[in-house]
Amino acid sequence: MLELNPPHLDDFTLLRYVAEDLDDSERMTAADHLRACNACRKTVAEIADLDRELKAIVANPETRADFDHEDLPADDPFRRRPQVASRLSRGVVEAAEAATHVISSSEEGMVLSSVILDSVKTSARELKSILERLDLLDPATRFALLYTLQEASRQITENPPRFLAFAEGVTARLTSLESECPRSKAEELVPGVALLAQAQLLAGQSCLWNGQLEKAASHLVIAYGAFGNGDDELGLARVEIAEAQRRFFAKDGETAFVLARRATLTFELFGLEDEIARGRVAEGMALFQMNRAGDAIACFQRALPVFESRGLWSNFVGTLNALSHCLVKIGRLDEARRAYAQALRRLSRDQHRSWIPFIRKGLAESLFAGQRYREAAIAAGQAAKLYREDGQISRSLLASLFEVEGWARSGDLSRARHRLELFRQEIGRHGILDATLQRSIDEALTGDSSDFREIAQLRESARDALVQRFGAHTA
Amino acid sequence: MEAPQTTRQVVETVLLDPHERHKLVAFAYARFGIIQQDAEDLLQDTALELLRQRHYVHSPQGYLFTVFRMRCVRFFRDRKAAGVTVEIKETLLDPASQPAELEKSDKTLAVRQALCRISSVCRKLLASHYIEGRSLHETATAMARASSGVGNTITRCLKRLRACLN
Repeated sequence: MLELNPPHLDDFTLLRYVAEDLDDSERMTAADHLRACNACRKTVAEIADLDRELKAIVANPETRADFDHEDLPADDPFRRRPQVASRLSRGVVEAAEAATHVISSSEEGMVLSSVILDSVKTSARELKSILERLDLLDPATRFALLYTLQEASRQITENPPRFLAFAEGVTARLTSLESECPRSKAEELVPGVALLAQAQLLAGQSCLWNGQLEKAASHLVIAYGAFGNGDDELGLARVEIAEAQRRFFAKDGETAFVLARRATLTFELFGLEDEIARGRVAEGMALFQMNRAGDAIACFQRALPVFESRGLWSNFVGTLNALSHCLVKIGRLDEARRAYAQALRRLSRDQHRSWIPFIRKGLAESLFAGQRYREAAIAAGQAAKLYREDGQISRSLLASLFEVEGWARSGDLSRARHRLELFRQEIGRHGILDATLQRSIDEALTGDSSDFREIAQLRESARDALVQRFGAHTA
Repeated sequence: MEAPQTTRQVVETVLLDPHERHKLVAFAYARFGIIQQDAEDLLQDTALELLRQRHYVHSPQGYLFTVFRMRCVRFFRDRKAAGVTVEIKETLLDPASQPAELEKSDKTLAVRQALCRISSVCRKLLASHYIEGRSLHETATAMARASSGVGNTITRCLKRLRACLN
């Protein structure tokens, strides 16, 4: 008579077996099966291993939240991270001699990249000419282009419009790449898809900083696919961070959080502390938007010491301001003040002189939000002075106006008017005093509305004028 | 703590060191049954990946191991998907070729990453059991009442989670 083997136990039943979730009869049946079935014994051992891992994740307060997020919608282009392809480029750098040659190409690329980056920042015409002349059959050139794109990404706040032009120029240059150098050595060492991915990421970041959220999205989607094809897990995670920021600006904290967390886990896998910290900041921003200020604060607090120890002051100041904003929002103004005071104690007046005004300005904003207008005005005045001493004219002028509003709201109108008059003289010296701004100042000086809306309007007008004069990244 | 290095320095100082290479090749064979020639190619791709990056690494050896191991995992996964079976011999290796601590933290991170990627239905079920202490069966039954096909989703997710431990 034909004897049929009983079907294998499914994973869920085995998890219930391990978790002692089966009733007596189910448990006996499962145990009988396991005694007779090698395959299920192997599976149950793996499930037990998984059970231990899951318990460890829950036991750790820092990882417990891994259970706690939603799926991205089915039509979301970021719903699933692309599966990174595995490929072997056989025999490209077999001999030690060849390896040394590749390393020297990379070194050469490093030197060339600083030349390209300089031209990106200074001259659109020179950049165009450089891009046209680049020999993409030369590995060193490809390394140079890749490094320049990466460095521009790191320096994105310096000049987003220029970096966008660079990214677009590289993308255009790459379109002719396929016919130019199929299967070349240079293509094996630095594939065109890696360059395209990096260029699209840079374009996405630049658009983000220019406030072009839709355009940023389309670049980031292309970058995501290209990094997947290009065998680059870290690249994928960096796109996720940029997309999380974009969604935060688009007020979509929930999906921003999913992407930020996904990226942070990848950085954790690679052990890259500074990137982990950046991921945590992106998580914190998203959490704050989800009205989870407490969790957001924890994220910022974990990131700050990393930025401090690595001397990443731009990230440090941004995170400090985000932390304080959160604290003020939930009524913990004194903690925000302490955080600023601690930061000011740690920074050296000489070594970190360009960062201190940002901290003073952040302090002023926190105090202002907490309706401590007089103290806010003092902090803003200090920030304005420090910005000016550091040559950051646009920021200095905006901080001055903030000081004016602080004095006005504190009830000290004569001091507010005096500061406003100084502001008028200052912008006059810089040639920014147009008719609109002049009218706004006059209205602010004569305005008697109790909500000081004239000064707030003046701040808006001044910001627009300064952006036009000095560029968006300087305000 | 190791001194920070650029990714290129990692290639120069660690990956070009014959002893380090030997350890990694031995690891690839012991853990994934990857033969020497393939492991050498994977090492070469690891070097190229590191040269294409340009950042500081605070734990050069750990970082190198992670990049190499991930390449081994992808190679192993693709070979398995293509139906190639590999017998991994139970050879006793030089303990240095199996960085146990790194592997342990890798495993936890792999489960955490997989948790991010599975269906939220399954995540909710696991949260209800592991965090709130509820019965797996009762939660699954309640979920099944709300939406059909939950059983298959859960089994698929558990398979995925289990797979990342291998």
